[in-house]
Amino acid sequence: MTGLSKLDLAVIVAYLVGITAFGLYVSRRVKDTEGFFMGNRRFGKSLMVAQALTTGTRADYAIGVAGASYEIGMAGIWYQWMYIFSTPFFWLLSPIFRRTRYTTTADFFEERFSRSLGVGYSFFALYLFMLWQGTIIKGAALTVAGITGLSETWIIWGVTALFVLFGVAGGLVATVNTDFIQGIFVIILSFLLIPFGLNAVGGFAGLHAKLDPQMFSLLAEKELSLFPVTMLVVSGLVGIVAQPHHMAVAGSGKTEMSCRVGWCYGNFIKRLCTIGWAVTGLIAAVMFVGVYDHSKRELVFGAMIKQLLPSGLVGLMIAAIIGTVIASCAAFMVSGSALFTRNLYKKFLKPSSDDAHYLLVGRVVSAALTVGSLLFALYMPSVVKATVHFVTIVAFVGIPMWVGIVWPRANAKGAWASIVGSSAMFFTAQRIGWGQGGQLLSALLVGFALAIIVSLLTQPEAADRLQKFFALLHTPVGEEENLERAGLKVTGD
Amino acid sequence: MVKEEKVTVETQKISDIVPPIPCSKLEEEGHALLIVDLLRLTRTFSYRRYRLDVIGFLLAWLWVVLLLALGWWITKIGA
Repeated sequence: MTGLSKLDLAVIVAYLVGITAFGLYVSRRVKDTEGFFMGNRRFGKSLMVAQALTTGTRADYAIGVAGASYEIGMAGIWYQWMYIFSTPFFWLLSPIFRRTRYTTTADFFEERFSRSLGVGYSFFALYLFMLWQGTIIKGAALTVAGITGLSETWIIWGVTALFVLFGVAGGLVATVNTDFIQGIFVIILSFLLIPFGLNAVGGFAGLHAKLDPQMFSLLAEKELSLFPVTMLVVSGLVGIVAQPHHMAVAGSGKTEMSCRVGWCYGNFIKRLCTIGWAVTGLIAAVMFVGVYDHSKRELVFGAMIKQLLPSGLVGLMIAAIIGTVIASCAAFMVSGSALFTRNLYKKFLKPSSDDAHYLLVGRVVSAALTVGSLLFALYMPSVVKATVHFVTIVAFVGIPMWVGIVWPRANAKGAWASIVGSSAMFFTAQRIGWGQGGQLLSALLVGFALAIIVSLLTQPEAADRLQKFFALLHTPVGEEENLERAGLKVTGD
Repeated sequence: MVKEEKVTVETQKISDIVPPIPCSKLEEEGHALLIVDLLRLTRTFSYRRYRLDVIGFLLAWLWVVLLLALGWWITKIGA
């Protein structure tokens, strides 16, 4: 009925039961909102690496890159490798996240600029989380349905039920602790098909014999070329700071070093996995010549699993795909819940309740947020297209964060002008038919220019606000007594 | 007789519009952040002060080069 053998089903069930039981077991450590949202900032290097790898690696990325490489060759790798040039900057950025001692990125906007920016960012980030969760679920369901023959809608609901159970019970503690196991599954997902595929097509020599040499170029004329890729790299770097889950990914470590190693090297492992996805796509280009057109190219990943893997390993791959969904979505749920609970509910609806109440609200919101994401999942047109789309939006929100960190004179009016102006420029350039590179470049230039000009033409932020923010940035973790002696609060509450 | 101890905090000035903030011993010993100090690096930069950022950043770029080389090398296998 399902197209799966008993062995495959046993592997999947064992994985799901095991990971859920472990997640629930460690969730008993969650006693308060700081534990639920930030894991009490007690994660060491290995857990931080696992968190960065699994939260940032999703089945739809592998599916998208393999699909793109199936059609345009190795250059399809850039759909994810565009961030490779941003990765060294994670080493420099992560201690900034840790030193702010904030729980959410909305805290950053509120503390550095204004409450209105914090609220505006919260709504934007909640929308992003729903969009991301939808993209992930859709990508995974598409593949699992292709392999098993089950209904896509049923898979979407089934997978969602799993990560809701996981995220609601254990928060970030359960998510990060299970990420270590999920990380192994990410690596399995990335490389398991390659030996079987190479065996089927006659090795790398077989690939070269059967494919156009252009398919092996890292720069393709079709779809991706140098200028748009360069601009995607730049916008990726600008926007990476504004991705709402990165406050937890980069700032929940025990020490600044664990944050640096975790975010930077977790992502390097992901870049390594990306090579596996692209090679998988190349093998598919030989195995399925002319079978899938542009709109269906993402189906090749599932088709390869079905055609190449023996009984048992098919189940392992499905478990790995579901694992990436659980890891990412549980993390997004927790971060989204933190945003709503801390930056909206606590600020505007119930400012003076006890921590147990906010923990309950956080858990309820986690589940509610997921319902919204399902609406996206059921109506998302294309996984890769959606990925590129939200990357461009985040970049503009990243501009005031960069400017706000390096330039004390930047203010809230400049930040608002930057976000609105760069977004307007981007959509105008898109409407008048500029290429993707031109759209991004013009929007980024307008964004940075407006942040500077409007800030210079208006009053700086209040001195005490600036003092508190920059004192945090100049106080490494472990020197909190300096802040206390100077009469400055440590957290953004 | 109990002697009252006065708590003093050594401060640093980072900008004309930001009131003085506490000094950090760890920052002086290599934990200062390049991005945070980006606009005043001409005055503040020293290897000792930004040691962790500098070493880690350069090492990370080495990994980028290695990964790119690996990607390129894989396209040449069997050619």
